[in-house]
Amino acid sequence: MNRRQLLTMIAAVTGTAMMGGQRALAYLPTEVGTNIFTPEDAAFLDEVAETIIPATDTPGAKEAGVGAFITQFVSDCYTDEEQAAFRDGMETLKAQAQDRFDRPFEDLDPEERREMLQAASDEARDQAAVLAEAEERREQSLDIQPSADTAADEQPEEAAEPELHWFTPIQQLVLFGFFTSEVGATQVLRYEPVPGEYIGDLDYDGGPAWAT
Amino acid sequence: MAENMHYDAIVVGSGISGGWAAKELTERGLKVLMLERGRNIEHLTDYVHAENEAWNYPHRGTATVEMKDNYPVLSRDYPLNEQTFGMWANEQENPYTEAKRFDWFRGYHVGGRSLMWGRQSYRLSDTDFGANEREGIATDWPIRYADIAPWYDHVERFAGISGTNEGLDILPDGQFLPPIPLNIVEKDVAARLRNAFGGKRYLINSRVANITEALPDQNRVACQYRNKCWLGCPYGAYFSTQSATLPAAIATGNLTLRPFSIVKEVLYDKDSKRATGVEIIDAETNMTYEYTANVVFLNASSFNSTWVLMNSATDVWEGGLGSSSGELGHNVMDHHFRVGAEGRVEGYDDKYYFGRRPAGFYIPRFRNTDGEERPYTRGFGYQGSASRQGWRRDIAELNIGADMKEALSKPGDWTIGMTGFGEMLPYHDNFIALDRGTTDKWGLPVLSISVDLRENEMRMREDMKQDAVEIFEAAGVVDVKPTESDYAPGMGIHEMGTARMGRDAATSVLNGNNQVWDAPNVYVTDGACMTSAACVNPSLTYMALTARAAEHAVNALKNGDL
Repeated sequence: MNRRQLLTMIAAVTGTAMMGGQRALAYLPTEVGTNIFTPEDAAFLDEVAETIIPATDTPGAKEAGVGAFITQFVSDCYTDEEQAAFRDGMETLKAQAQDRFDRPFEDLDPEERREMLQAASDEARDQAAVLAEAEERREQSLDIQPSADTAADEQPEEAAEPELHWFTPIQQLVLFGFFTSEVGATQVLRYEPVPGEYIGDLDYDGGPAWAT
Repeated sequence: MAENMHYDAIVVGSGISGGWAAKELTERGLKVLMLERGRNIEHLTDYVHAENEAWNYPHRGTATVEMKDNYPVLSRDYPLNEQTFGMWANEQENPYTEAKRFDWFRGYHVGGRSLMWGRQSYRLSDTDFGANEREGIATDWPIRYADIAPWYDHVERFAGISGTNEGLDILPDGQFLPPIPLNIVEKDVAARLRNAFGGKRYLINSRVANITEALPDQNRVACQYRNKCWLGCPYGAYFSTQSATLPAAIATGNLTLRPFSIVKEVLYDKDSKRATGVEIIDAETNMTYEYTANVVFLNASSFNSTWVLMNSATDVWEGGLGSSSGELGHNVMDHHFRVGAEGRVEGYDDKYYFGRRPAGFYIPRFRNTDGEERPYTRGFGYQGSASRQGWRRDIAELNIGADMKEALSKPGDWTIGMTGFGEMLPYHDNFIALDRGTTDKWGLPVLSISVDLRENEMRMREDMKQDAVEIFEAAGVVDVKPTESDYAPGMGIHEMGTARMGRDAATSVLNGNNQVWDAPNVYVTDGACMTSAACVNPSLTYMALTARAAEHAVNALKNGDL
């Protein structure tokens, strides 16, 4: 079937014998709420994002508008508590730049920015390992069925839950915001809107991964 | 124009089984009124997100806090997202009571969940239809495979199921379009599996209601491999009420569709012992109307069809129409899942694929067959797929900068994963009941749901995990890890039972033709009718039972039996 035939078939929409029921939207567009960040916050996050995903021979995070995306995403999809933690992360990074280089993050040269974020990222990775261990311990303790004579009095002491490192949400949102953007998906990754077929045995050409 | 208040038949609900009832009844010449509690959705023109890409959604698909607040049940799993927002029942207007946690994901609109379903389509076998009798569990199915086989043929041909015939007793062959292909890694795993486990475990193509060849008679174009089925397909490539059964019913000129029509009860005449019609509330105006008909099909989804029965003929039976057996509302089932394994496949770094499949592979049930006896009864199948990792993977020691960007922009390792879908037994005390103290937006009493897994399911889950690991290891998969995430009843979105079929009016709600024993002109042909759950996805069976019952109803009307 060629494309014209295909479009003709698609256009053959049936009418419906229907009573009542005026038209209503089927799939609902989702709303964008109030952005709780300033344009300056978005610009700052753009700089952070560009350090994590810099422009190379392909566009980087700034061109993909990652900073603005993150501010809207955190505004709408994060709980109050998560928002506060995210803001703390931004402030921590700003303060660290001042402490270390006596300049705002935006005024650091690329190598200084890289150095800062690499250090934060290493810390975050270590902390992630601590979190994973704690999670595993928690799951193991759930697996142990308390016997009738120990259940009542032997409550394990509640250890303080380790917290997520402040850099982790920033890094995750940058990757998510970038690779799901049009720039990231089509210029850095590969995307085919209407593949038309599935080929499950293709020689890999060394090119980019599929966006989805 | 005066509105017609009498029809040959009324179909309550417009989802997978309601659409089939409307099609089969109208094609046999009956004037049919199809009632749908929610709004209308027009095929193609109302699929407003169908051409959207990930970046077109303000939150790239993620549910906002406000959405989660409004949909506390839906937010427990994947269905709450930006792509399908608005396609699940409004939880504020339609509350229900969780005596025990039950994740009830409902589609209240024309087409129901046929627009969002998983499309996996498998036949039950005689192992399934005979299991209750063989094991003395619940009550016997009143039918066997031979009774439904021609109806599976019939619905598969029209719905368009892609798949392969494998000659397996446990998973009967069917009328299939060419399969959606396995990729090279899946084929390799399938080949290795054939030589392991005595040749008794098979990895086969998924059987899905996505057409791999155009069906011009239905104006449906073959799958374009976008894997965006849940947005409503602009090609009509997957089976839904809108793409398939509704246009066929409309084409007869015998169908009237009435959206915003909440059926309150089936009207019952105790002298003739027949239903005379239904009473509805118009969801928009709150006005009530009575429509009369010679036959009523309940296809409102498992729990809601039973809800209608519970609210009907209460002057005769306190528990409602069909309650005389004491089984109405009981024997709730789902498929328990979310347990399996995953691992890495080496040796294919020079291979990739093109296109996005709405399918993967299936491993049919192999436990408790051929005389084997595990410490539980029944069994499970696996659904899974293999693919190369994308940007979401973790790259050790490479967290920021150009090197990380470069690495993540290339495909990663081949990985393979699968999850088991296990049969849940019908237990009398897994049940739904009316909660008269809680009402919905229209003042109607809501359902209270009380369901949990028992010993048999918990033991089966151990095998579902261990066997998945063993299968992958036997097939040469490396770094194999068991996977398990929380499962709560309902999450399978395969809720079944509550008005089971049986051989005896004393122990079942419906007879072998899906007629309510106490009102033979009322047919229930959605998931409510299931006597046992088997371990395969159930929708294809609802389609076949509905088509079978529709023929029965038309013949019975002709013969004056109703």
